[in-house]
Amino acid sequence: VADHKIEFDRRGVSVVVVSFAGPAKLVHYQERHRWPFPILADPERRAYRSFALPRLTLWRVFSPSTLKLYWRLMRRGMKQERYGGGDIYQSGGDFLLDRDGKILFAHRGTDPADRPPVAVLLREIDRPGSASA
Amino acid sequence: MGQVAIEQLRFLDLSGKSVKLTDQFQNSRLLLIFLRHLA
Repeated sequence: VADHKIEFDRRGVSVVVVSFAGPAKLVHYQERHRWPFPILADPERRAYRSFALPRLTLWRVFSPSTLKLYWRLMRRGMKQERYGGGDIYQSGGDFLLDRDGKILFAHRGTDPADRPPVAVLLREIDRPGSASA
Repeated sequence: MGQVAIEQLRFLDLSGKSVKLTDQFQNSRLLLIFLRHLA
């Protein structure tokens, strides 16, 4: 997503990244990853609950598709950073919203490898029913 | 698809200051990306 910021800008879509880590950890994380979007902390996970993002089972966290993803990232040279632990069972997700809070698109990750490709996000943004309010 | 009471959602920015999600709308739509644990 970060590599396609211009595509979101062009479509008039703001992007915000949320983590359940606290601000101090996110400062370190942002120094390394440099997301070109605001990154916000939700340490009490109220927003995670509002968007019905559950904690995953052990089987989901270490599913074959997850292990395949980690193997691919390791082969590309990505190293695991230590940000002081964290809850590996918390799921992630992607939501397109309008100003009224209407959810125009929702993707709740069923395992750590389950994120929608950018092409899917852009297609959903371009869908007629997803037009800006 | 559903509705969320976004006016009630508060987050902390990197300085620890409380911010409202509604203030993050620079445009009419917003993509919210929830991360898993940091890696």
